[in-house]
Amino acid sequence: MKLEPSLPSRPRPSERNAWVMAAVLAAMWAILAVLPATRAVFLTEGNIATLLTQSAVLLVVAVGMTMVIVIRGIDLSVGAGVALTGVVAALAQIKLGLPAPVAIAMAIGVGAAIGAWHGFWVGWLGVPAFVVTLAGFKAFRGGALVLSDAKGLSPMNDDFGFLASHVSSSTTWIAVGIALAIGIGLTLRDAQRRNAFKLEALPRKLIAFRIAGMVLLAGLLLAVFGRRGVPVPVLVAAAVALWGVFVTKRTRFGRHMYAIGGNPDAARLSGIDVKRTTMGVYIILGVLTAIAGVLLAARVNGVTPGSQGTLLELDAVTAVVIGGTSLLGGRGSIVGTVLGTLVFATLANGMNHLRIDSNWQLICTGLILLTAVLIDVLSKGRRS
Amino acid sequence: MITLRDIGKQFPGVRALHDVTLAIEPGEVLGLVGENGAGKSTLIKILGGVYPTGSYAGEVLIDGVRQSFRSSRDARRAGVAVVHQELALIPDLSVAENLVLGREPTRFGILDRVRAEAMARDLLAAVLGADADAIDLAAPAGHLGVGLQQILEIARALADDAKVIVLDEPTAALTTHEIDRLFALVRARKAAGTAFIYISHRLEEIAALCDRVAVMRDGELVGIRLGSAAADDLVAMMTGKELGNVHARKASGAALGPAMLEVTGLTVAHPALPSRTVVEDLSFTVHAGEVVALAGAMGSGRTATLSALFGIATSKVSGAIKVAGQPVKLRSPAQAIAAGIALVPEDRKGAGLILGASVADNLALSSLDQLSSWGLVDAAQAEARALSRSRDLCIKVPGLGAEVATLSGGNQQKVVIGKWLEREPRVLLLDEPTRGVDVGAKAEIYKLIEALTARGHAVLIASSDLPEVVRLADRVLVLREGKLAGSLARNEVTQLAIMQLALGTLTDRAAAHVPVLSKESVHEARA
Repeated sequence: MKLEPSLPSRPRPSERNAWVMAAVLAAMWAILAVLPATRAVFLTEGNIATLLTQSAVLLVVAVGMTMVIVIRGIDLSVGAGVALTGVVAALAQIKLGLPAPVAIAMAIGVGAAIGAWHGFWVGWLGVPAFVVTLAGFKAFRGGALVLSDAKGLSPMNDDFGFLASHVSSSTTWIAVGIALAIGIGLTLRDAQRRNAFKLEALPRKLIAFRIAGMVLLAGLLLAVFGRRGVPVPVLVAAAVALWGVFVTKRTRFGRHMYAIGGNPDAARLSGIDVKRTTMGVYIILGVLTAIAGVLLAARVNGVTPGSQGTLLELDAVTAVVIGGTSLLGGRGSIVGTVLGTLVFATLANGMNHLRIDSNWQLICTGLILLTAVLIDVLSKGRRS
Repeated sequence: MITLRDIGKQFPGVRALHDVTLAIEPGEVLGLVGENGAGKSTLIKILGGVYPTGSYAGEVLIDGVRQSFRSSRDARRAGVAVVHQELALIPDLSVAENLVLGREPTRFGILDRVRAEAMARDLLAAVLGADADAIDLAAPAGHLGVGLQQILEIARALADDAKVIVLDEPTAALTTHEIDRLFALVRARKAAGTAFIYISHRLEEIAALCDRVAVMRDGELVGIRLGSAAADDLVAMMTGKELGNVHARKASGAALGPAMLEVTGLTVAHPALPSRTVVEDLSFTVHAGEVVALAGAMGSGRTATLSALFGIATSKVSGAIKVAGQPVKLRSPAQAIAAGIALVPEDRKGAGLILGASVADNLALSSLDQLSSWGLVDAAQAEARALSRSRDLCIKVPGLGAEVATLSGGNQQKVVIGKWLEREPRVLLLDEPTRGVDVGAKAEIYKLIEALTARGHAVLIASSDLPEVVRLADRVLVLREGKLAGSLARNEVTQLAIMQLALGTLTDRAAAHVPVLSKESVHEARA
């Protein structure tokens, strides 16, 4: 009697969700590209550039939020952190006259400190992340108001403006080219090393499919930004997202994140340093919060400490959840979060073009969120 | 050489360990036996670094050097690998990812995913031999059956270059075929100088594998015997009293009552492949006062049958079911419970108990409707009933308010059974009723099952523990690949007869290598 042959390995639920979201996004874009009201404006170079620029800040934060949620955490203080780090950068520029790189470094330092603070409370003291970051939600907003005397700070110095500018067309081509080369190189190298280790070879179709996907993505980016150059926020957000994919998929740290989220006790018994990994994840989100803070300060050319970044944390959670990451931890992907962020941004952009007022937009966003979670729940139901 | 010297450990109000001194030589397999609560797990947790240095008295020495582990990570580094009784896999990570978890290969700080997968493949091949090919390395570990998950864990421990490997009840979920393979592995590693601590309630395994046996009782080491020591002696040492043979057949019971559960043509589709089945055209009857056991290799459809009868099968179920003569529809546990069916599941911690809740709350869980009026729970009545129930079942607890998670396996199992007794179910389904339960509690659970049948309940058991099946069953239905391979009446039941039917060896010698690792088993245990 022979053993049964292996079942074809099915995609994991989070991957399946990513495909669903990609389909949803494609459908949204297709609809907006043909609707009479939006046909003329939606699929233009300028509009896509605007859409991506507007989602850059959210995406930077959402990448970090994905990691925190994967380890069963949450961070409610992101919006307040954006205000606080923005105030730090603005004070450094306006009050101290420091050059932009120093101001940015100071903001990032504060962001890392915020993350370490959260990591300490959650990882070492075992206080629930919801409570720790709820405290931060209040305290960092207060800190931003105290430091700024509750007054708006603007404008930033001229050298800060590069964060809201474009890079040149040639830089864009080089950046996209390098990213594409790395992506294809890693794919081919993996395939070749699998052979070296005599592992089951990946189907050629799959490799070709992956490479085609990367080329397509690069082509799309160049079609939108190739002539005018990519806006710095989009470049930063793309770099953060690619880095996030790399960390989650290709580092030991990333593997440990999923282990902790999937089964914390088992992770600890497997010799994983749960505390340090937790600390690392919160520091990453803190740094990304600071990056979002300076991007936003550059875009609006100043900081309004009382309202800057308000509700950004919940938008980030929305994007993450739409992207298929489970709030129960252990499951999710950065690619999903990128798609979730784009769905979120496309929704706002499309409804603006359709002249649906912003109050209705809120209702629609809520429904989309529920639909996304429903997909997650249904796919889980099928699994067990 | 690993030495535990004068180990003591105190929990609030309980002395868990007292002055335990134990040495294990390289290349030795030391059995560790004792009833639940005797202190075996506590001792292992100290050796494995789960209880950090300073939280216990005494010292742990490896090759004469005093160790101060602060985490299980430290212990692993020092050469102590522990396979815990609770499954410690990450359900959403793949088989390969789990196998290399905590020692992922990296190149320049970057995870080497290809090498990781190759490592996992080699590991699995070393443990499973040719059967390893049947396991999809990319499948999430949570999709595998319990037995396979256990094997993955053992593979993980063997991969460590450990000085001592602790196996805590490793065979509870394994088939005979898998156990043989495990033993061969242990012997090979033992010959290479690795020491083993082998904890098991199955004394025949201890005799087969161990050089020496350490017996614990009430937190103390009561003696060390040779591995070949007679089981009766060990049991007497463990319990502190002479027990009758636990596996003795019970005396012939009373006449059978009316049919309580009648199953006709039960067919359960494969959860992943709808064209296949995990249970096919199964018909049987369980009478009041009768214990019927479902036996068979892992993946033969035991658990799938019970799941279908409790309305929790995840795939299509067909066939007719009658309870006490009434046709019933079983599409949900609520319908099953309303029909008078109760299930004690295989996965006690995951599916049987609310671990964070108290003993009293768990006992009240399935009878809250009887305990409440107008939606308000009568707390006093609930507590009174929990108190009398816990006395009836001899559940050993510091108090009814204690978290169930703090109880030993045997006592937890009694809570699960007790929860259902509140409802007086007509048909009680028990899946692996004594998995991970010590000899003393096992005997008590057997007595309990017999008391239930004497009171007219019908009992259907699924078990991979053959002595247990022989001990308890009035009738044994042996399943093979989802079909009824044969039925044994009480006077025909022997372990050999069950094995022959389960493996099909009566007719086909080649079938001895039964597909214990077939993909059905991979998915079946999820149900």
